[in-house]
Amino acid sequence: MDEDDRAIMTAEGVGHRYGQRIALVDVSFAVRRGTVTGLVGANGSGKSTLLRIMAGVQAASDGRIRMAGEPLDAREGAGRGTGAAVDGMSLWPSWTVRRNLEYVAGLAGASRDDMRRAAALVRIDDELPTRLRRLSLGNRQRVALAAAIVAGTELVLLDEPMNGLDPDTRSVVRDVIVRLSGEGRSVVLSSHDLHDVDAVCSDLLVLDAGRLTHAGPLAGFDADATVVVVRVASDEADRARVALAEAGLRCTREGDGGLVVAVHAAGSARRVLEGAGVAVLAAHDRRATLEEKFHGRI
Amino acid sequence: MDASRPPRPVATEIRRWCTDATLLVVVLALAVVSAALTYLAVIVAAGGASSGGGGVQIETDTVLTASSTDADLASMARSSLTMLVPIAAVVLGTRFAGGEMASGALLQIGVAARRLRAVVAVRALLVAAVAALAGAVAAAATIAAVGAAVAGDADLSRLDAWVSAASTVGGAAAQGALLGLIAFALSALTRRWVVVLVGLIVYLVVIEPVLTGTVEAAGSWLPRSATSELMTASPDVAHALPTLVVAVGVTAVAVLTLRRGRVAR
Repeated sequence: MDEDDRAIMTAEGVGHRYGQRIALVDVSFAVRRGTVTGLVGANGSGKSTLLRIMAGVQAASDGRIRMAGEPLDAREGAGRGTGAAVDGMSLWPSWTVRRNLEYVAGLAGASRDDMRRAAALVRIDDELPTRLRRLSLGNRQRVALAAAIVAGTELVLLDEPMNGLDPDTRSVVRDVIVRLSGEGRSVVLSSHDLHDVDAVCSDLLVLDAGRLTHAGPLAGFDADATVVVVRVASDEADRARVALAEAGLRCTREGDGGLVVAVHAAGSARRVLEGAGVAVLAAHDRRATLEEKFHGRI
Repeated sequence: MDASRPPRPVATEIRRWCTDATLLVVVLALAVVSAALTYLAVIVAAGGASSGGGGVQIETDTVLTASSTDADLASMARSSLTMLVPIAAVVLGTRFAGGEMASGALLQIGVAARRLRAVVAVRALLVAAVAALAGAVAAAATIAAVGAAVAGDADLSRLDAWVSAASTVGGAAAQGALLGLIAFALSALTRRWVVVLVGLIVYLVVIEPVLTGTVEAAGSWLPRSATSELMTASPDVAHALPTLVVAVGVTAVAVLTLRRGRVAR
């Protein structure tokens, strides 16, 4: 079985322009069946455009998307089995949660049992008789997620599903994503929160100004990247941060007096600090987190 | 119904609109307003009541007397219908498209619907059906109002010729269906339902009457005049053909040019 056979969706040289503005350039990747793929990038990097193209509701200027081997725009019903909660999408605020989900299920050819299962999965089943506009932001996000799950029997596309959610609800959404993957569905998760991506994704797409800079297993993204953790006296931490910043080295604080210096900067951190007269009490390397790798690249 | 059986998208779309309470409100409001205005107009025309006392001024050039015919009474029924049915049809047509064809809801439908064009085509047929129903119900209620208004006046004849009543009901239904379709299709094509709503109402209420008065020969072919004529006992159906062609044509263009890949803008 080759790579394409295992892919639920493939993109081949996808590009998109809004007038003169270029949003995506020659983007190619495969979304493997039953995996959770993170889609990360700075604001304006083209994530939402790519998700809309993957959902089939926006035609790419160049290139082609295939769903299960079939061109997405080949015929009316092609490429369905996709559910999405993407930027700009909305449900019907004056309808009850039940009516919203039943309508989406009906359009997608899903059953009422599927609708009920999706509502239960995101733990919104108690709110089925409630009008959508009466729900909190978090619960409305859950309903949008349930709608995406009902329609997305093969592929679920989620654009910032954790935005504005409290920690408990974020945890629920993360669990739902993992369960969907366990059921064999593919999920593409666009998020600025790299902890979430790190926690649930097995594959990663990194967009930088419309260009794909990484497509593949998350573990393979800068796999060898390390950061150096230097420990300085607490009262010297601020001075150390300023010195590192002036030298162009990103750093964050970790514990009392600890400083984590950005990826790829291990060798120079000690020299910069000693040059600034800050005593380094201890230093060790550790594997970089996704967030540290990401900041090291962009 | 078996809970686990997947419902079909077309059936889902039909069920969605058949359970939309706002459509029932529009249908009933049209019937009530048309019937009430006509009832008052007949009372005034028959000289049976003063119209100025209640704050609502009803004016009519028609005078109903003992020699008035069915045609006179049917004409009074039509006078409110030809104004209100087109407006209600435009409201219904834009209602079916508005807030959907231009918003995130269309994105939701575009992602979920397996047969997007079929959903929109069914919606166009439903617009025609509901607008026709609205016209027919309003016409029936208005004719009933005429009957009620003359019932107490022994000098007036009764509107009892079924041909007059049937042609009024059928014509109002046809007018509603055609103008509702045009409003829906233009809203779907432009994705600017508010502009279409205002533009069509201005056209129907202001521009077409001016055109009809200015270019008399062309007037009877214009949408409101031509479809209003369908309510008469012996209409010239040919006058309504251009409106029928426009309604069907613009609906076909709206459905056939809809591409899932253009749903997001």
